[in-house]
Parts: sequence; structure tokens; C-alpha cells
Amino acid sequence: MEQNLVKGIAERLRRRDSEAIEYLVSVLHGPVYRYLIDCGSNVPQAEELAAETFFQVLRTIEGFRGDDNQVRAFVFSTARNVRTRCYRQTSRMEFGSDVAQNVIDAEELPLQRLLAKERNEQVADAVARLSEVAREIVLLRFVEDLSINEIASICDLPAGTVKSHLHRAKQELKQTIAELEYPQ
Amino acid sequence: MTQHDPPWTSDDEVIRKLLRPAGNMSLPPGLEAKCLAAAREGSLTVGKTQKNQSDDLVPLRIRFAVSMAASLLIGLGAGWLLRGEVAIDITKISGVSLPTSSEPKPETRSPILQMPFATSRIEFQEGGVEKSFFTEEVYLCGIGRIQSKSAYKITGESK
Repeated sequence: MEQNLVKGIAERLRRRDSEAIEYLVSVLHGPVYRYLIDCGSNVPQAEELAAETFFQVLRTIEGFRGDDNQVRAFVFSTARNVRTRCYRQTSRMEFGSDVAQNVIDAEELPLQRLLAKERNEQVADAVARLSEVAREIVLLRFVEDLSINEIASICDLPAGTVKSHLHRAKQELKQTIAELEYPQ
Repeated sequence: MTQHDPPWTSDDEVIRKLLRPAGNMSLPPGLEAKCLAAAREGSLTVGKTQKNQSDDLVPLRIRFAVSMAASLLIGLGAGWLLRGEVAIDITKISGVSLPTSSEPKPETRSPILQMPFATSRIEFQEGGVEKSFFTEEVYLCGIGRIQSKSAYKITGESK
């Protein structure tokens, strides 16, 4: 399930090896973009934030002390920070102007639209109803196939908290699935 | 799947299957090239930003705490140097204050011994079989003045 990056990638990235950079971008640009979209960014915003994520990753890679198995978590963690910073800046700038419109847009996430196309409206609704943290954890776990420890590192939460969020989210989704299979 | 996962993995597979469309999202053209260009730019700016980062590594709070600790240590050191402590030679005091005759002179009944520092004082009192010493010292240290008072009482007959 969980895909590991090639051996020695962390050290090669620290040395700013050109091939390692290309490999990292080719493997993770899609998942990072998807993650940003799933977290509520629109398409142009997600594109910008994905590029900014890779810029920040390579800028700070020398300070990264993890091994090869932690590179993916480091990239997603950077994406999360980049997104949070962007969100803070834009909300500060746009405060009081289009707040109401943003709230309405946030109700319908891109993920929801995507899943709705597949006639899984109920699943999409169930995912959208989850809390922001739980939704993020579910998506990282089931869409990006990240491990509990990686998710804990990305979300800056203890592994136990991630597990409990995931458990509760799965219970809710399980109920939705049961309703799908056996409608009343 | 990790060993820490709960046992109902079949449900995990169902959820994964339901959320699969989210993983099959089409990517905008040129995204990879854009990310690669940004990554390369980021790798080139490492040297430029390293100096600024090292400055940021020590937060302002820590710098403030360190400077406060250093100031306190300097203050304590200065206080220790200026504490006005005097080594008391008890035999010398006894010699000065003890009366030589059986009928003590009024001025020797309660002599006050002035020490080299004004912040230190020893008072000797004699009454019958009892002899008392009172010492009072004032120390100056980093946190302010500390006053120390001690009383010694000797009872019994002296030869």
C-alpha cells in the first residue's frame, strides 16, 4: 500500500542532487496538488501552492534530519504549512469583503464535486461533514496511503490522536456505507 | 497497511475504493514543470537564506532569557565582592571587651566594635555570669541588601 521513495533520496536531496530533485517532483507533485485541492484550495491556488511547496522543501532540505522514509511526510508537512500561511494571508487581506461568499464556496469542496460525479454523493457528504482535521487524516490515509506515523508528523499530532480521529471518521463513513448498501 | 491498524481492514478497503475517484484527479498541464522549476530555484537559494536562518534559529525569547540570566549573574558576582564580610577574631574581641578589673568601667560594659566596613558591627555585653555577643552585618548582593543578625550567649563562670 504505502509507497516508499528510492533508497538514499534524503541524502541526495540534502546534496541538492539534480536527479533526486527531478525524481521527488515527478513522484510527489500529483499527491501534493491533490492534497491541496482536497483541503479546499481551488485549481490555480493549488498549482501555486504546490510549486511553493517544492520551493520551500528544497530551500530547507539541509535542515531536514529525517531518513528516506520521512521525506514524503516532510514534503506533505511543508505543503500543509504553505497552505496554512497562504490561508492566513488571504483571510487577513480579504477579511470583510467576500467572507460570506467564501463560506458558501467552502461548503462544496472540490473533493465533494469529484465524488459526486461518481454518484457517491452520500460518501462525499459524509467526508465533507467530517471535521477539518478528521477529513485531512482520512484523505491522507485512504487517498495518499500514508502511514499513521507520517500523518502524525504532517498534522503535528500524536499518533494516538491520529488513530482516534481516524477511528471516529471511519465509524461515520462506515455508517454511510451501510446506508448505501442497505438503504432504509 | 501497518501493524498498528485496527482489525476491520475490509472496511478500510471499502472506504479506499469509495474515495478512489479523489486519487484519480486529473492534474493541470505544466504542473510538474512548474514544480520542478520552483524546486530548482529553492535549491539555489539555500546558500542565500542560510545566514538569515541561522539568525532566526535563536528566538527572541531565548535571547532575552539569556541576557537576563547574565545580568543576574553579574549582579550576584558584584554583590559577592561587595558583601562586606569580615573575619572575626574572637580572641581579639574578647581581649578588647573583657574587663581587666573586678569593677568594670562604664565604657567597657557595652563596647561597640566598629569593623573596617560600616555595614558590619559587633556588640559585646557582660552581665554577671552571662556574656553576650551581638553581631549585625549587612550584605549587598545582586538582589539587594541582606541583613544578618546573630546573638551568642555564654553562661558559666569565667576564670
